[in-house]
Amino acid sequence: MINSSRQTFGVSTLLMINAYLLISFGVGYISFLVVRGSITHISVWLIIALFKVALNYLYFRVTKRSISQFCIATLVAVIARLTFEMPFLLIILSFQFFMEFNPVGGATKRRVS
Amino acid sequence: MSSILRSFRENDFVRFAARFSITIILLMGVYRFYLWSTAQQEDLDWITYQVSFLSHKLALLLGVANCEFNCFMDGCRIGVEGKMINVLEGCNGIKLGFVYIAYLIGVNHNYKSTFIQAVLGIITIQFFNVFRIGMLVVLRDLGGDAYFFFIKYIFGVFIYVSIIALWLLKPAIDKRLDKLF
Repeated sequence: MINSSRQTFGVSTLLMINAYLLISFGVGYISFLVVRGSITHISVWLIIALFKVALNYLYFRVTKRSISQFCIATLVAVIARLTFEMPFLLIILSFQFFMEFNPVGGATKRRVS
Repeated sequence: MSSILRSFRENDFVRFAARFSITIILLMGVYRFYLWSTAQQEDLDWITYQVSFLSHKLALLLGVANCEFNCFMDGCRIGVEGKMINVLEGCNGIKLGFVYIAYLIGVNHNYKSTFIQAVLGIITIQFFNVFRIGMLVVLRDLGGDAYFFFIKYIFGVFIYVSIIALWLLKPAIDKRLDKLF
């Protein structure tokens, strides 16, 4: 039970990192469209931000975290990103790794059924 | 209401989130103050300078001939004339280090072990960061657009995997350090 969920966690983390880094290429392409004047800068920012949050939501769903855990982690990551320009993905990964590996209650207790 | 607050306080996830957030705010506060004080002296911050300096040394070691190194108030420029890369404050990897330290303090196993792991973590992250910038100088020198792929993808994976490896090794390091102290 724990092994299969740990496998799911590992695979989804790997996919999440790859998806995020591949978005960087997407951002490069969208920036090109912005230069051409096809779309505005704020809409690009909004599309990317919403896409990242949606991706993050899927990551939390697949790893069976609760909605409140998703909300807290995303809120901290978004605020840190906007105020201090901290890496969004690394903050999300911090929360996920804490829930997956770190002691006190154990990994299974932190999963929702 | 008070019972809801109490149960929230006793939740280990919420405790982690609170400690993590407070650590990030404190570290960034100190760092921003440091950046502000260096800007007042019209100087470049020490971390960005050292990361750039070591990356330049690595690029020379990897065989980039005529590799130049110039620093200004907002960052450094490394590489061969016409193919230089800019190393700005945001490239110095310190924010990744802060997130790593915030995670350690959020978990807070033991103060001594947290301190030692924070130092080891910062060194590891900076090692990968210097390697990343040094390799970028080399790739830029070789020509082509490959370096863009490396900036956006390969080196990102490198740094994230190095931090994840440190998190995964944390329980083993904790056990060793617990025996020592």
